[in-house]
Amino acid sequence: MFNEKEVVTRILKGDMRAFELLVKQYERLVFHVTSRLVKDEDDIADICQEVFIKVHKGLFRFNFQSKLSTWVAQITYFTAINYLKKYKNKQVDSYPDDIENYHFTNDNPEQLLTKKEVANYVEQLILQLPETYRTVITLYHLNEFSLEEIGEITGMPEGTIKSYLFRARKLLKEKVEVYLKKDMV
Amino acid sequence: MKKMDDEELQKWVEENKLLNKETDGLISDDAKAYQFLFDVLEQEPLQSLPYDFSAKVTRKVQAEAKRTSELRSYLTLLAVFVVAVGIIFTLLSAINFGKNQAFFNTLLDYKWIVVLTIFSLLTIQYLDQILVKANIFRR
Repeated sequence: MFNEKEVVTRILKGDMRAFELLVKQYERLVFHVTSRLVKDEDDIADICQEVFIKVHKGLFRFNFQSKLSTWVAQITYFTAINYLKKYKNKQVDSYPDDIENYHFTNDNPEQLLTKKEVANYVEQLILQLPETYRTVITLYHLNEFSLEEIGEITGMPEGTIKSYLFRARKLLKEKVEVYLKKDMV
Repeated sequence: MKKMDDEELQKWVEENKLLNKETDGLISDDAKAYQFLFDVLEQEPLQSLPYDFSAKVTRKVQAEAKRTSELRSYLTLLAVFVVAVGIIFTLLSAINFGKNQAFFNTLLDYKWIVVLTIFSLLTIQYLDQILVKANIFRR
């Protein structure tokens, strides 16, 4: 079992095996968050590496006030956002006013046959949502963080997170519904 | 059953999911769609990082830590060297000022060569660190 305190103490003493253990423990989390924010596959691995190098460098500042996973996710979120701002010359979306009328470009749920295909389709839809929505959906559903923890990670107020989550799920449900209706006929 | 709006539905499906409640046959199409969506959202993406990712990152962190420690050693060595030269010169001056005058004069004559040598060594070391660091994610 992964013992945060023990592993952190060992890393701070220079134990690289303990660091490798930490990477193994959180690589999925870091990958999930990064891959939902950054679309370029080559850059995803580089950003994940950068995140763990930052984790190693800054570990002495970690004071166990939060879960280690929350702290790692926070570093991941800001590294990916900074990357988007820096290299993709792109403003990170905040709160689009017309999200209810959001238009997905890949819009053909009628052609989907299996649950796996729907999962891929939903993944594509998620990637078309604004960054903040993608982050909230990923952290909540895939990494099972609470709303409070997501607030800690992203710096967004809990009410805003709740609202993003609700709107993103509503949008996605409307698309999935089409597939289900066809399936039930 | 009273018709729930989307917010209530999301909450209801989530709670039932947490409690692992059997809801088949009791729920509306909207609730079914949410249930299905939540299942899909919890599925791991097909792509993942390479299997040796943790080993690669560890090696890179180790290499970077080694470089930092080497740079620190060089700087310490330089500081020790400067302090040692200072102490030796002070001691020699205190013991016999006249004899050291020649040594001091020679050192003064070639001071720019000494300064340039030390500066070049430090610059090479610094540039090496910068270039290696810049390429660290590209290899």
